[in-house]
Amino acid sequence: MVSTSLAISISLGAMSGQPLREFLPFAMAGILVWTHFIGILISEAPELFVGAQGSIKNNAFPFMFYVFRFATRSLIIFLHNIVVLFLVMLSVRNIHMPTWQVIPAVALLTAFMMFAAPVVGMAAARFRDLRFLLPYTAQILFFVTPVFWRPATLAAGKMNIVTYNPLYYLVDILRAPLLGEPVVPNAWLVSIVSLFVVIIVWAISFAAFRRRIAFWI
Amino acid sequence: MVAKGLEMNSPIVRIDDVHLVYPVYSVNAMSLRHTVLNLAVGGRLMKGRNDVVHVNALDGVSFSLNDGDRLGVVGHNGSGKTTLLKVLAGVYEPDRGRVDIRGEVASMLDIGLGVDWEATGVENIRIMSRLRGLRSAEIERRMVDIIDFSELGAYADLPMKTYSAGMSARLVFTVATSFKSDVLILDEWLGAGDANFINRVSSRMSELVENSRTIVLATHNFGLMESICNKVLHLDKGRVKFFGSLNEYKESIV
Repeated sequence: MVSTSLAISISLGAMSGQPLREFLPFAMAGILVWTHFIGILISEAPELFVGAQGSIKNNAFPFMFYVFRFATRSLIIFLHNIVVLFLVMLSVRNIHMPTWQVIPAVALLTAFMMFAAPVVGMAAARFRDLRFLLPYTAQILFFVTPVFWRPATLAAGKMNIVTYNPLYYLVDILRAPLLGEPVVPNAWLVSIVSLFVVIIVWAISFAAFRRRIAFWI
Repeated sequence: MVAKGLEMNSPIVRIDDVHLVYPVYSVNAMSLRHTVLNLAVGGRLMKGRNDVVHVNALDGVSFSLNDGDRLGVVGHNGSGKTTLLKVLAGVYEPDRGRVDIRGEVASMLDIGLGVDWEATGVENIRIMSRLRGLRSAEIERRMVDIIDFSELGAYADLPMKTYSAGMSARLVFTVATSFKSDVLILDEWLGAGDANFINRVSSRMSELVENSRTIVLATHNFGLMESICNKVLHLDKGRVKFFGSLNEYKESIV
């Protein structure tokens, strides 16, 4: 995570003429939030049920047990990496004080991840080639979403690619308070609406296909 | 599950007209790319290639077990033994019919399922017991007993990938039977233990029956079934061919 952030910060910082001490904390916070709450839905959630097949075929644990285990692991790694983020800020002597909004943002993103992960996990259990297709989607989304670049650098009239991307708001509700910045307008609204959409998709698909999971894996 | 403390004599396990159709997917049917292509060409890609086969695994199975019953499930390979055990364990939900189990189920359907091969025997005992909701103090208290009965000796501290099939079977079996449960479900892998261990298992039956009120065991080993079970369920192509006491079963096959 540190090396990716550093590489992106050096090259993009140089391209946009921003100093490393400005750019690195921003890029790193963005990549941190992306990796642990959005990217993980593509990189690890497909393995959620397939990877636990030994347990699923032997025990009647609720399927959400595996989701809680998945989310707990991701949160613990996230908390470790938060420490790294502040160490990096310290090393470039550009420390931001996080605001209180970090806490509700982590809660909302965790909920988002926990309801989206079983949907991805079920789809990937039914269609085994999905986990080979998904990484391509991940790359596209990673570059389209302002994870390591600022929307302000977009040419006028091209703002639509950011405005209509819910992932932008989901990343921003945590990144901005981590860096002590105000969140973009509507970020909380869009994020809460996205969470509800995901919960509805989860409720429908989980109710319909949950009992098939044991046959798929 | 029905609330506890209804009538004392109501059965612990009651299976009523259970049907289960088991879908088996081919490599093509598991591919999103193929499925989408298939839709585009109007289903011609997967036609007649048995891409999704539906196996009629259980076809109207009914029986009930009371306190103290030990059921042996017999039948040819593919007769639905393991599927029935998985339905009892709650792994599969039946398509039709009712499964009523009063109490807690402990299932050991397959060694290897739920075992972390990189972890040591002792660690696996802890993981398996914790997953069954036991407290650490209780597990540590029973640890010596478990290692003792499974005859692991110094192997207990080695990773389980170094174990022989018999050793893993002994460990998993011992954990499954060391703690109290209302229904204990064992698949035929028990045969992987050596003769000496099976003898010890049989001689430990009184303790086992004490720990679990009901046992369901699928097996091909008639001798093992004879020494453990008092009831027999004979499955044939997902249908009940015989259900009754062990003695009746012996008479019926003579």
